[in-house]
Amino acid sequence: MKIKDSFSGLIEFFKEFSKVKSGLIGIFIILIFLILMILEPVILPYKETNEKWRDISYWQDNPSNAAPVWTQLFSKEKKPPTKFIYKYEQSTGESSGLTTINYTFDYKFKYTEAPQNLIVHAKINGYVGYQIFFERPDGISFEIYRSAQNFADEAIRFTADTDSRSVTYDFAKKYETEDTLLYVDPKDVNVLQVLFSKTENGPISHPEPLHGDYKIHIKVTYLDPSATFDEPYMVLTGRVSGLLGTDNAKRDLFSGIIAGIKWAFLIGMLVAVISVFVGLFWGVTSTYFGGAIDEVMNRIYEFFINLPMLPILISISAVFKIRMAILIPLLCLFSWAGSVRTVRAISLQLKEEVFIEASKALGANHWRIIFVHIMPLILPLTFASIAFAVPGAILTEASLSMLGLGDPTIVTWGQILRDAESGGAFINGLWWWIIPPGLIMALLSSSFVFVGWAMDKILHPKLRTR
Amino acid sequence: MEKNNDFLLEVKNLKKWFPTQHGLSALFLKEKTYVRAVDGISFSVKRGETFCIIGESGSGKTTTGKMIMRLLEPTDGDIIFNGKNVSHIKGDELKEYRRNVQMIFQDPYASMNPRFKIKQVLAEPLVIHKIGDSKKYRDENSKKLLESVKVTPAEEFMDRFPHMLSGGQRQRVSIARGVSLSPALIVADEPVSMIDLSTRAEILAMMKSLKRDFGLTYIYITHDLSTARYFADTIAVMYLGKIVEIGNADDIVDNPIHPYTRVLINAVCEPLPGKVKKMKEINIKGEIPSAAKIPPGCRFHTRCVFADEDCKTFPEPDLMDIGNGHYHSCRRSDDLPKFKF
Repeated sequence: MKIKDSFSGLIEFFKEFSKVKSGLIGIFIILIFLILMILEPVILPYKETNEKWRDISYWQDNPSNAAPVWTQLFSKEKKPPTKFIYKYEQSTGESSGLTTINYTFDYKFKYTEAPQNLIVHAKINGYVGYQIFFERPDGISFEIYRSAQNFADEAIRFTADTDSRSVTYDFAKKYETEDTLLYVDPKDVNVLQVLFSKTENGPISHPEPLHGDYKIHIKVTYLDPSATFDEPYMVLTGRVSGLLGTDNAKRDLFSGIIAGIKWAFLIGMLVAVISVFVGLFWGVTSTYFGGAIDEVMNRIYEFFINLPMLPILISISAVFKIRMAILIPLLCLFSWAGSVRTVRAISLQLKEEVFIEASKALGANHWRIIFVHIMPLILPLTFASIAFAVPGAILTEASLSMLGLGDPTIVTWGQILRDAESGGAFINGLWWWIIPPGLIMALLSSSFVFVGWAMDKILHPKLRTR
Repeated sequence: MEKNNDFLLEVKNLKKWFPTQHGLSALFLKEKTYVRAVDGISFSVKRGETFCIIGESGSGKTTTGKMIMRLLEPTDGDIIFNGKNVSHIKGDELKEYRRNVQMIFQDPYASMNPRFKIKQVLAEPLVIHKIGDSKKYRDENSKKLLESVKVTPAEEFMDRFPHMLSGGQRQRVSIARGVSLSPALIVADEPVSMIDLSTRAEILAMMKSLKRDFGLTYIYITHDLSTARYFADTIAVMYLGKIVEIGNADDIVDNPIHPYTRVLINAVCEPLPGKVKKMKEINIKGEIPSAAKIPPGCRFHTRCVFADEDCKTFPEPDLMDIGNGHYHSCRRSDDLPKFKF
């Protein structure tokens, strides 16, 4: 009986809500976002995205400016995805009395473009010498790197792109004419392209991908018997990466966007709820007391609703470092006035109700009447205002981030867009850097607006107070 | 009207004038106009009696009730409760006063917060006056109150919302809320006018028994003489903000002097056989004038069928004593025909 009573109103509301299609779509999209937000720890491809978004070394094994993997479905060219190779064959040998271990990695190359980079990782402790040999399917094999050092338990990272430049140039030189070489600066040679190209027409001037099985050998020589060489692995960074590609700092954009959901919700909901509640309180209080108090509160309200938000926020951010803890109150300060007018209209009517008078006659003070009698009755009518205020807050944060005034300790969609703008994404045609964050922002915002419309339709035509 | 300690409430020359202009424009107007809703009334309510204020809509009776309840600030005059002038008290004093004086409202559909359960409605006075802080005590109290106003089974009604009750039941709850603080005086503003005829008598009977049980004094505001006679000890007839006749209930009904009182008595319908389709003849013309433009002379002359030229020009007469605590304000009382019901 009891439970049924308190739920019947809610059920009735949802019944009416379900009649409004746009509202259902909105709720559906919001729910999807909420699920993605909750599942963030599971679906994030890069688990430490939140902490290390601005840490270059965390993203170093990614390609930069790589398109999303699924673009391959619509393209004739077959670009290589990023490949991590942990599997190797190991053979032990001996040369001039020292132990050597040979690690051999296999890589099957069948793409129209060479990988962006070839990276080798390992952990070394002690005096160790190591050589890296590159063995191509056409039988050519040469050393691309060598080093001997006393390592103090270090993680080494070899990248062909930088570390094998001159070796590669020397290798390619043999297949190019003198005339061509006159115009080639060794510093401009595309190392990976040369390594994975046929030699016939000149790997620099007329690169043509050489398909087949490549082998990368790492020959480790223990110059000190107690030295160690552990956990070698190889990365061939591709030309396509992840669900939504990468930006110019090699960051995975899908991770960034997923990590941004919670901030969008936090900013949107917190700002919307706080400002609507403040507006509710303001509107009810000023109409309830009326007279001089109403006049003063109304002037303050008018002052705030006419404040130009962006210019003031920009000047404030010149003084303070913008963090979430500052940004949210600031956004509330500029948006609480939005709901005051609606609340006033209803409150003016409600405060004349007999039960308010009855409560006064019982001896209730003003605050009891405001908080216990009037505000709870208007509350349901402000839900639509809350839904409408969410996109405003999300988009304002995005505009601030766009201007470089966002919180630099977190990842938001606005900041991804700003990076895209400053990274020349538009000029370079890196659409995956611009469209997804923009689209997702528009999608979340519009779904809140849909819900707001639906609530408006249900709640406003008949001001349901009883 | 002599001074007497038996008087629980005395009202002296009470006035409520509402300004017709508000805001800035009112500052620049030389002559301010007012709606004179209550225009100087005096009466005394004895301890334990039921004092009835009767009049048509617009006569100022509800405004009087609200001023007594201090929901409206009197423009002028005094309200003396238990020998203490309460016309301008504030804060804690006012709260204490409201513990002693309670009001029952006309519209039982509007006088309860629609989101409150009945038990919350009944607990509100206790919460406000911080009586008994345990929920159990309050629930017990609500239950007792519901039983005393005969809304049973109480347990079942306590968890309902006002809209799930009938008008009669709601008014009973509203009365229960009124008596919950055991006040000395209850201002009942047309408590049965919105109730079905069939339940009116029952509710009035219940109010009578509550009066006995709680030792209450009522100020009963109504436009319905039939319930007033049943319920009241003293009747004051109001017209356009003034009391035109006041006296013992039986005297007023059996021997009305003022033409307006006579009209009110004649207006009571009686379903008599043979009188079907016959409108009763009522000695009145026109509508009640606006309280912003009160006619000069006797304020009733515009509608009075007995009025002569003097009624329009002579200054308004004061209440005249005709003995037995019966007062009226008709200067032509001697020339009026004998009252016939």
